[in-house]
Amino acid sequence: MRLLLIEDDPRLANRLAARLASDGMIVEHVTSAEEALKISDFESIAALIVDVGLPGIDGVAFIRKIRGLGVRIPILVLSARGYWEEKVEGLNAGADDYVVKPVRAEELIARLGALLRRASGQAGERLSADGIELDMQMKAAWIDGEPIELTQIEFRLLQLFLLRSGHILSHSEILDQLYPAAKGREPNTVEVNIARLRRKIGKEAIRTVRGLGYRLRR
Amino acid sequence: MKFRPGSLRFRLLIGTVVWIGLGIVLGGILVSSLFRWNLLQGYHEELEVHIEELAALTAVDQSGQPYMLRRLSDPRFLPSGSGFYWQVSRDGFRTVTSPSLGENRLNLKFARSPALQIGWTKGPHGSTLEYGKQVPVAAGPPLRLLIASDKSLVDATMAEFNRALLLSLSGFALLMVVAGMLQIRFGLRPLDRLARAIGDVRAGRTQRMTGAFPSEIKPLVSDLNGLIDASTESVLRSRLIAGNLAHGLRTPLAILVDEADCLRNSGNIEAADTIQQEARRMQRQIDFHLARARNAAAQPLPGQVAPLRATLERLAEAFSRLHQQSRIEYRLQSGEEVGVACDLIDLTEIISNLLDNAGKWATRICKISWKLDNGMVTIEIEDDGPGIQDEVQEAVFEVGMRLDDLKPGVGLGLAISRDLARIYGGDVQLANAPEGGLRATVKLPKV
Repeated sequence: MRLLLIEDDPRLANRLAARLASDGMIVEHVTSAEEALKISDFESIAALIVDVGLPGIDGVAFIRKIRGLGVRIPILVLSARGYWEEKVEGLNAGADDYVVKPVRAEELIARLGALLRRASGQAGERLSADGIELDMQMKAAWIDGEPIELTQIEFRLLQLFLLRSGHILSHSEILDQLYPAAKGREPNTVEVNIARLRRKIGKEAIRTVRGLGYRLRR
Repeated sequence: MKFRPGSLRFRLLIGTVVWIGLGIVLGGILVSSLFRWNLLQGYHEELEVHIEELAALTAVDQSGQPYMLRRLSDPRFLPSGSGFYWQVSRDGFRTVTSPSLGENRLNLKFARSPALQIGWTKGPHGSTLEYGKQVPVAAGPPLRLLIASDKSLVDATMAEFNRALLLSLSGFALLMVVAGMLQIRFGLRPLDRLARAIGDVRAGRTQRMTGAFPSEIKPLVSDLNGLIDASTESVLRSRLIAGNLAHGLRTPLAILVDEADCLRNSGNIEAADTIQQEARRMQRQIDFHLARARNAAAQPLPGQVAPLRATLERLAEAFSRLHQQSRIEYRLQSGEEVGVACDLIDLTEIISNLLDNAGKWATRICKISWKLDNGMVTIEIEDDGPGIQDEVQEAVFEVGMRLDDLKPGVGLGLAISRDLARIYGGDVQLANAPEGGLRATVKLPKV
């Protein structure tokens, strides 16, 4: 999952990024809304974490702006002041949830997970499709009720398919969501990992759509 | 506009009436005296002419008896008791008088010298104005000539004049008082405007006092506006300082909490627990003092008005979003917009804490409704959760009290809501709803 963190305090941002990364998320960090607005392709990001008290354009104004641009990805607000007015403003501007600092990384991850599940149209605690179940918090997966062992990258890949179940995921989209922009971008990484995942969840589970990408289907 | 006792208008009116009354009385006396003087002057001139005529028409026969060559030309000397008299006397001879005098005789004391003498004396019908002089005769005692006029004639004329004077002056005084009232009304009209402007600010119809005022009142208006601005600004400043303080403390605290997590992950569980426990206490302290600072800054300021319906709509929308996952429906009563005499941010805070609480406990629905009674707005927030035991209905308002530590929140919310509502002269109460569930009732003054 590729996340964008907009937080002006670099110490906090680095720590949050590190924690989220250790949970298997790819975090890109910018320190201002202006910087974030330069991003042209918001749809390649799974979710946004926005601090309200940003210098320049504040978090709420930023959310309103990108929602106005038609960006529909989940947004989580980080609030430091803790006033309801601020949270309500953030939510009404288009945020989906808020957390008040100091937030524990576990809570942030859990809330992000819930947001991502909800955005994919799944209301339950676990992600599920075609007999595959996945618990984002427990980092566990099942096929027809039987637990399966997955490496971190395979788990992330499966999670991505489940969050976009029914959609065709392009090669570059998978690359974007699995690896930070700079590193690990070997052209055949995606094929290698898809092949490994197929071995564990069944050959037919992931179909190749020629010229477009891959789709989850058992 | 009322002329109530104790009012500025009443004082000005009393002053006006006293001055007009005094002026009218003094003026009346002066005019009356001038008229009387003028009247008497007329009498003098007339009587002088008459006595000259009397002297010219009086003759003495051979025996020395005075007689009239012909009657005096003025007919008023004829009718008996007409008030105009003449008399010619000569010691030792029969006195000749005007027919009007009849058997009465005039006092001879003003006819003792050849020079003309004038004075008031007792006449045949009360007080009389007499003119007298002596005219020498060739042999023997002189002739004593007297002309007189009754004072009652002067009095009657004066009375008639005074009556007319009193009437016209009374009318004039009345006009003056009415004019005075109109002037007071006109002059004090800016004060009425001032009162209305203050009333508008108090009722929240305007934020500041506006309109054109006379130069005497302008400084007062700008001072009042300055005062309103200063109060508003001080509230905003306190809020900003409190917010900045919280912001400044929370970020390092977030780093501490995170550091503790790292420690825990590296196996240092005891140290991690200690840091996290202390961080939680610090966070509670920050929240508690932040809430206190906020509440201390909150005050019912003139001109504050928050639109209730719009605010509730906004909050219901935000909370629906927030509780999307638990699928709790925030059901808002429809109705007319109503203004609440409360700062918008404080109203948001009061209601949000209660909605948040309801959202945590509700199963499916949270109903929000409001009604008006006796200048107050009563807002009810009702959930379909488990409700609350009677014994703890008051205890949950105590700072830090939480019924269920598993639910998020620091237990300050209800206390903050109640404190804020009470600052604005309202209150927050909890009770079980008839259908089960909890009903929070907020009362706030209506604009």
